[in-house]
Amino acid sequence: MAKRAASKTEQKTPEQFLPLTPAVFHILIALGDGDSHGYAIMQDVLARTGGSVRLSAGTLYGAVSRLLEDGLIEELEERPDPEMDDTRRRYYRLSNLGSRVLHEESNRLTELVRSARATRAIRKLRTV
Amino acid sequence: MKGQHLYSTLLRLYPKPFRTHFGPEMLKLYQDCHPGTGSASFWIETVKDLATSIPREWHREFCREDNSIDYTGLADAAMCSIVVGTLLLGWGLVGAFFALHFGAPEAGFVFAFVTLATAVLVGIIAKYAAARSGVMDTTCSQLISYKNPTVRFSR
Repeated sequence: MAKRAASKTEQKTPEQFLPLTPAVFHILIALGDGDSHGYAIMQDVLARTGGSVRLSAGTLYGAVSRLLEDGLIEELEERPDPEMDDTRRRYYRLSNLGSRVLHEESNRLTELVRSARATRAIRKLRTV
Repeated sequence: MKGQHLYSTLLRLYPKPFRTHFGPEMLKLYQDCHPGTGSASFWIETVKDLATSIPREWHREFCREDNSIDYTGLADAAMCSIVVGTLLLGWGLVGAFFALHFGAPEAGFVFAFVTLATAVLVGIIAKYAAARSGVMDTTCSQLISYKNPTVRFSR
């Protein structure tokens, strides 16, 4: 069950959130595979990008804070057993709006890559 | 432990709502990533991160309609800094004048020392003036820490 959910921005359409910043996009991708906490998100981003993107704490939680406010992610009320995990950790989940925004951003970037690949410069490199 | 102390102190520079909500987890993140004191490169990255994220979070807090900032303390701190800063500038000019025209370089050191000491004192006073408004905490009561990891926070 979500503890904090979108309130003031529920009427916003997914397109209005685009384009996403790289940090936000990475966080949404990380949460796209399931609920996670800050450290796991950081590790996921590091793994997905082959170590080239390392989210710092300030960037990560600044983005998480904005995503919570915009209702793209939700904070989970359920906490793991204190003996299994640290109670200071908060768990986050992608909301329906967040999923749609992730989908729209993926489509936008796909189109962008497609048009980039269609340019003469890239075609010329391919033929070499 | 020293690294954690330093990091939790630096976290106090964030606006209170942000710090209260994310501070415990950020400290946990630090412990996960750097169980020891942290390397020099870690601290360089941390300072760079804080230099960008703290102003950004303060800007967001100022722009928020329901922000928790009481501007009285901030105004006190700003006024104190401006007035004493102006006096210090005058004092520095007098010191430079004496050092240059009367050939007493040691007088320059005395002026420099008094100026620095006064600046530190004013900084401390300004910090407490700002803390009075609740903008900054002078105690660790709001910031979780490794001392009491089970404390729960709500925004």
